[in-house]
Amino acid sequence: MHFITLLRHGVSEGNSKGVLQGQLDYPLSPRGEKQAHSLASFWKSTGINFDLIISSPLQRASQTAQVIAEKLKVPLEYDALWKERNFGQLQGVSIDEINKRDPPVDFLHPYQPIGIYGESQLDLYTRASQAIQNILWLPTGSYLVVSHGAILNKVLYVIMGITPQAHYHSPIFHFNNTGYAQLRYNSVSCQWAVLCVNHQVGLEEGSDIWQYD
Amino acid sequence: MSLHKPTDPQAKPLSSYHITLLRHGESQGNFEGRHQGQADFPLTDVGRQQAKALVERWVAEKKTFDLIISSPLLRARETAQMISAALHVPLELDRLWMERDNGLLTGLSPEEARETLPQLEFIHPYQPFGQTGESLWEVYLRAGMAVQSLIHRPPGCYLIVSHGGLLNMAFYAILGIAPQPSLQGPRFRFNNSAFATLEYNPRSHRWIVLGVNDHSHWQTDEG
Repeated sequence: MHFITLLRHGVSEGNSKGVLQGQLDYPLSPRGEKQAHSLASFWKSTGINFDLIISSPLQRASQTAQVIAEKLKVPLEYDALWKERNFGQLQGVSIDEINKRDPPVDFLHPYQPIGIYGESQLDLYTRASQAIQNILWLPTGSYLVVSHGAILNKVLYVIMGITPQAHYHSPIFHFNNTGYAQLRYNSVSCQWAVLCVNHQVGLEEGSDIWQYD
Repeated sequence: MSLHKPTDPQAKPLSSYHITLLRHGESQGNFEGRHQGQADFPLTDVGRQQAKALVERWVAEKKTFDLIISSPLLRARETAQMISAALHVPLELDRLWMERDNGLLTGLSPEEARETLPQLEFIHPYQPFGQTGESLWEVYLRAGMAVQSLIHRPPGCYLIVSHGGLLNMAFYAILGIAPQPSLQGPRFRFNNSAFATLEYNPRSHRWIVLGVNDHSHWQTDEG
């Protein structure tokens, strides 16, 4: 069996400022660091552990991963496949401003680069497929992935067999900051079990819950 | 653009649907490890404690619903009645939310099932389950109708009390996953008294999955 935990990073400076980050590299905010520590402590106290942590190299993910790796004494690797979606020229724009432009286009097909030169839904879906396949090629074991909201959504699409859809009609899996999903893959029967989605530990009120798809 | 901040379910009037899909507490059939289907087992004492723990959690969280809709099967209905009484929310029963009819398997233990029915290498999605029960397609279609009948109601906060098999097909219908042969499709885990939270916006046909298998009121090593 492969036990896979998909974790979204803690609150970043970009989240606090309310900007769409994409592949821009904002560090964790002090609250984000606190979230990472409380999650690591919770996992340590409940005996949850991993054989390997794989993280997006973007700081908000890598810093979250480092806190957990240190606390649980688990090796940590970085893989650019787990980076957030490239949102093209929308990156760094405030979310309020993007909302004011609503609706920017009459229709958005799944092959259309977002923000003029960013990744299309299909680009992202393809990268997500590659990322999850790489984990299934590792020996059976327990893996923690530290990544980002939009790409984790497409990973869940790949796992569940959901096709990217036109415009805004695809379902959204909401991940709070340091919210995580747990999955189990049986490579003999080729079956996926979705054990939970968006589990959270000790999140204080008013935590950042913006997410872009 | 399309930024998704879930809306506040307490803010009135609501323009979207806030839906909680709950699996019943532990039943006598669960306890005995039986294929329940539409066999009508009551809750065990543990099942009642699970429902009570959930009610206490929701009271503490000031959680409320406009309406509870439950499967009429005893294990779901008892769970729903406890919540309805404690949170003062009206309760309706709807057969669309009943568990899958699993034919000749209904109520059997795994040993009895092995003795009674042939073990199939492969099950296609159109094949009646337990020889005389519902095929996966039938359950999927019924789950789709159940979801549709919910969306035909006005926007609001709804609690559905139902069963693991049917709730899995409701998820397939919501997310756009087709029924697959044998047990090839993804399986959404629902512990006893665990729930999923969703939001649906009818103006954009957008589903947001806010959580799956939340059972923080009842921690076990089951998962």
